[in-house]
Parts: sequence; C-alpha cells; structure tokens
Amino acid sequence: MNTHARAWLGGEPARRLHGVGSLRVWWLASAVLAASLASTTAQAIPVFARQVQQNCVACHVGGQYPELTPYGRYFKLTGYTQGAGQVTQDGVALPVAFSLQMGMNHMRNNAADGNPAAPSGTEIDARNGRFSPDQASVYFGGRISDNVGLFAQYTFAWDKGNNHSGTFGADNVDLRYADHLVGPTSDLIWGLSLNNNPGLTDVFNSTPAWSYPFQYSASGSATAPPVQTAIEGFYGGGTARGVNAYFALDRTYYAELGIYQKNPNATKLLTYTSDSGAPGNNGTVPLVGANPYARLAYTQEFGPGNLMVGAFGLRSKIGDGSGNGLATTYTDRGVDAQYQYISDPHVISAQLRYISEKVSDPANLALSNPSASLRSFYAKAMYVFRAKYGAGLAYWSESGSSDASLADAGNNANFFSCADAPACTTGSPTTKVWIPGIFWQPLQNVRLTLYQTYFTQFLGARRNYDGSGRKASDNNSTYLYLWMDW
Amino acid sequence: MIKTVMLIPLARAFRVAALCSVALGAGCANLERSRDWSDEHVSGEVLAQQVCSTCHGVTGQSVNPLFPKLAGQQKAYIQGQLEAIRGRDRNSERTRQFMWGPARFLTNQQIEQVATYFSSQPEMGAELGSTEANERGKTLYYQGLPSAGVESCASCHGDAAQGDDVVPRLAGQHPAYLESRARIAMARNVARLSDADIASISAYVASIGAGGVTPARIAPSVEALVRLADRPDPPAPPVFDANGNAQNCRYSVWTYGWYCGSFFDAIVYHLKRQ
Repeated sequence: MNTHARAWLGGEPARRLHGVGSLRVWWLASAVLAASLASTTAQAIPVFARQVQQNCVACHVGGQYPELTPYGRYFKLTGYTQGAGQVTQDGVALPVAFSLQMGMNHMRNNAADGNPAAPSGTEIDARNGRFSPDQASVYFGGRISDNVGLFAQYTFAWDKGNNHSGTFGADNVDLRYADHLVGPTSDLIWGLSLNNNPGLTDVFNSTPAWSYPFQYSASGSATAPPVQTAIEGFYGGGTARGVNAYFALDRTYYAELGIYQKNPNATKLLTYTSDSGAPGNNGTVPLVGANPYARLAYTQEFGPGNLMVGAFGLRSKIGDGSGNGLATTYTDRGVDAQYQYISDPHVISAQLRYISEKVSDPANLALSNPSASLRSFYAKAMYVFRAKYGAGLAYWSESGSSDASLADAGNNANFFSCADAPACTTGSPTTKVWIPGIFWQPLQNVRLTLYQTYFTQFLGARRNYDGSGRKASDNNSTYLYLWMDW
Repeated sequence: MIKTVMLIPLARAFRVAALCSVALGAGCANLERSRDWSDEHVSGEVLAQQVCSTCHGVTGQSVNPLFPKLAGQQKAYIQGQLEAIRGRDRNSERTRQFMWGPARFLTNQQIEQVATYFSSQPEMGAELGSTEANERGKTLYYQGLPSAGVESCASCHGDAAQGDDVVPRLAGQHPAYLESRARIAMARNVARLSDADIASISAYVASIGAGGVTPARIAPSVEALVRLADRPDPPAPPVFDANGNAQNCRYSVWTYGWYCGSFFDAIVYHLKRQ
C-alpha cells in the first residue's frame, strides 16, 4: 500500500486535499480514486526470503505475493522473527531489499470531455497507453531479536502523468513484538504491533489492505470503484499510527484489537513523506481521537485446503486537520471469508468480503447530508499453476446513498472532477467492476501481469454518468505491469 | 477513558519492544522460544516447536499433504533425512523450496533433538476417511508385483508399515505425500508401476492404523507365486496343496518379500538378481 501512489487507499486524496480547502474531500477522497493514481502494494519482501532461505511459495500462495499461506501467516504473526539471523557463518546479510513496478495502463476513452468523437484535446491520463514507472520501494526488515521483528517499506511513487517527479515516503511499517507458547497439544501466539495503517497487520487476503488486484497503475485512469468505504479507501501506507494487540490460538482462532490515531512527531518515520503539501501532520489522515480497529477470524485446515471466516470493523473519526474537534465518523463493519487450496502444482485462492459503512457528518464536513451509507461487496478467485502461471477474477461493487457532495466533485478543481476525468452528476457512489487478470512469473522475484477492468456501472449509471455522454465502460482499462524484487 | 486505559499498557509494551530492538537481541534473547535456526544455542526441541511445527504441526501431525507427518516417525530416519537436507544431498524441488533454508545451519545435536522430539510423539494417525477397502494397494504392498520385478513394500517397511531405523514409517502418512515421495526416493522400484498402482499403495499404506487397527498381511496369491516362479532363476518352484495354496513359500524382510523354497535359496536368488 502506498500512500502516495495508491490514491484509493487514502494517500493521494490526502495530498490533493491540501489546497482544496473543502472538507468534503474525505468523502470524496474515498471517492476518488483509486486506482486512479496509484500504484501500490509492494508486499513481497526479499529481505524475508533471504532470512529464511526459502522459496516464495513457502509464505505466498502459489508464490503470488502478497497472498499468505498458513506458513506465511505464522511468519507474520510471530513478528518476522523466524529464520536465520542477519549474522551467520555465511556472513552478514544486509536487511535491505528493493522493488520496482512499472507498466502501461490504457483506458478505453481518455478524452476528458467524455466525447471521443470530438475530443477537446484534454486527456484524463497523460500517460495513457505509455510505459512508465509506477513506484520503487526500499525495504528494511527481518528479525531484530528473538521476539522483535520489522517490516518497513518506503516508496518513491511517480506522480500521475509525470515520469520525472514523485513523492518519497513511508509505505508500510510494521514493528512487532511476538511470542509463541507451545503446550503438549496446543499453542498460542500473541503479539503487539506498531504500524501505520489499519489492515496492514491482517494476515488474510480478504480484507482490503492485501487483496487482489495487488498493483494499481500510477496513471490517472479509474481502475477501481471511485467511492469506497473508509477502510478500503482512506488509508494507504503511512497514514496513521496504530498500536495493535493480537493472539492466535491453535492456528484456529485469531483476534486483534488496535487503536489508530493521527501520527505525532514522535513517530514521524511511520508517516514520513517528502510531499510538503501533504495535509495534517506528515501526510497522515487527520484522525480525531483514538479510532478502534477489531478483527476476529476462525480458520481451519483440512488437507491441502484451509478455510477462514471472519469479521472486522473500524471506526474512523476524520476531521479537517484544524484541531477544532469536529469530525466525520465512518463506521465500517465487515464480514469476510477465504479459501485456499495449496498443493503442487495446483493452487486456488478465493476471497469474499462485505462491508457496511455508516457515515455520520453532523457538521457537513464531508457530506451534504448529515449521514450516508455505503455497502461494498468483493469476491475474487485465483488459480496458479506451478507457481508460474495464473489467472484471477474479481468482482467489486460499491453502492449506497447518494450525496450531493459526489456530484459536486467537479467543483473541486484539483480533485477528481467532472472537468478532467470520469465525473459524476448523479451523486451516487454505485459502481460495479469486474477485474480479470493473468500473470506469468518466470522467476520468483519477477512477475508480469495483465489486468483488465470492466465497469458495468460507474457512479450510479451505466451510460452518461457525467451528463456529457460518458459511459461506465469508457473507464475500462488494460494494465500491463512488471514487478521486480531484489 | 477506556481508550486511555487500553493504550497505556500497549505503549509500555512497545517501549520494551523498542528497547529490545535497540539492543538487537542483547539481553532480549529468548532461547526457550527462539525461532532463530542459525543459533546453535537454541535446542532442537525448541526449534521443533517454534519452527518445524509451522508446517509439520506441534505434535508432528501435519495437515497439508505437502508436508509429511513426523509424529512417531523413526528417529534414525528423521535424523538421516535432516542431515541429507543440510548437506543438500536430498534435493528434490520441494525440499529445496521449503527445507534447505531451515536445515542449513542445524548442528548434529539439534538434528538429534528434533528427531527425538518428533519420533517420541504419538504415532501419526491415519485419516478415518481413507480406510476403505483397497485390495489392490494391499496386495501390492505385501506382494509387490513380481511379474514386473517390483519388490514388496512390506519387506522393508514392515507388516504394519511401521518402518525400522532408517526405513521410514509409512502407516498413517499422507497418501499424496507418499505418492510424490515414492517417485523420488523409490524411483527404481515404482518406475515399473502404473500411476494407479502407486496411488493404490499409497492410499492403502496411509490407511494402516486407522481406528487403531493394524491389518493382517495377506498371503501371496497363487497367481503371483506362479509368476514369481516363472521368472528366471526362481529360488524354488512353489508347491501347491489341494486348495491351491503354496506350501513352501513365506515372507521375509531379509529377502525383500516373498520367497519359495529354503531361505538359502531365496538369498541366492536375490543376490543373482542384484
């Protein structure tokens, strides 16, 4: 998750909010876009591979990072401490790694005025159809002591439409203390995490932070629902400070509680950004007070398969950064499920997620109405053969109450506006998209992926959702990218 | 107020964690529950519980057939395999992917302790669902396939597939694991078996011990014995009684299976076959 790159997880909206001045941005933020600008999640971390000297398939389902196998979940829950130390008889292993994601995104209709027949000359995505870098990351991590481990990713994300500038900052940071108690017939893992965005700590891939598709283009086109729930859309890497406690009993029961706050200067590295224009402090989401996050899961293994059913929740009180105490409250409640079939050479991974969000905005900071609701449904299945070839398909829908703030998006000149992008006139958040993809992984640290988005509905309509004749399908995008790790 | 109460202990814990981080383990070592497999001071038992258990289970009863059950496995076998993996003599793709790393720095003492830990666990249990009759697998396990020169599995792995010393226990193991492993470790023998036969044997062996029942081995069929007798230099022709049962044939682990005639004949027979 890259704050600066992955707009729909919050980072990009946060940056753009600055200067807009409108408090509606936090609703719009979710609104935006996702995908649009962003790139994403670099979860593969070669530092860990070097620590355990195992193949990616040990921790990642079919070698497809970031999806975790039961072993990968155990590795994360035990604080990244399993494996060899940095200093062994083989020498000293530097706990540093790098990754680069680059590719080409092509949106079907790139004309900003929605009229491909008579284009105004203004493009939604200046990089449409051109190969360009999306993001580069540096990782630090691994075991620090027998109980303490770190996963830290800092990312340079190229700006939308510009191959020569971007922002460097904290992406994912997760410092853990963990212990594993083993009895004659059962075991208990417990731990604490200091991290920088809700969902980062989760070990399942049905929650938003680590779910398919794993990479979004840094281009300006829409490659995901533009309006998302807070837990899906507001937080990217480096957007808050979270302190979490968790336990896993007998690899069956998992529970986690966390508190997320606006990051203070004392832990500035959690949310560091080189973007001086970022709002709040250090580019964080302007959270007000302590915001609780909870996660429960029941998982069971049977043969090569394992099943998880769970629930999660997050309450986000988001202000305007002025410190006046006013805030919009987003209450997200979700249920999810995951099934994995891990064998050789066949691997299947499927996830389901449903999130219900209630928004309360008495001060109309983000909404025109005092309240709103949003429902998100996500389903995905993926097949991998020999950890080299694979295909996935996801369906993602967002629907909920209409609000004039969405239709007003175009009034925010620096935002995702009707003037320069897929726009909105209905004020409806409802969007439905199919995301098929195929990938080839010739080496375990090199992955070539081709995604396609098919929007059947966009911001409330199938056709003419912006009043200028633009269709939902005009946002359909093809994204080819290469992901490399060292 | 509740939030404040929750945050205080968490913050304190993190202060401790941060101090540990700074100390880079100095004074924070936890040898009783370490997952550092390059630390010779961590006992094999701790590694078994903290590391091996990740895939093989705390009691050695792994769930995913990608990973073998180790519960009640022969100690010498576990020890030998770990040494072979550490020395990279065992180098199947799966071994390279999963095991070369963890075994890389193990000391002889740690290996011995890991082997002791798992071999002393209650024996791996067969799946209840795999106890259906599998006569083909049973026949092949106890008789082999003489016509194809395939030895009996039981001759080495035992009547109850319990293994012996460096010969691994097979009873209760994952059938899928047995299949994949047989193609590597027993390649010469199973190369003359069909995929269906390998699957049958694996399924049968995996079911041994289900419900606490150890099946009685079966006698060689007349047909099998006749085929055996027809092969070049048989130890001795079977002598059948009125019911068609061979009277002069018996089973021995020393001869890798069934033989007819005297024991001396059988030894000579097998030596010639080598």
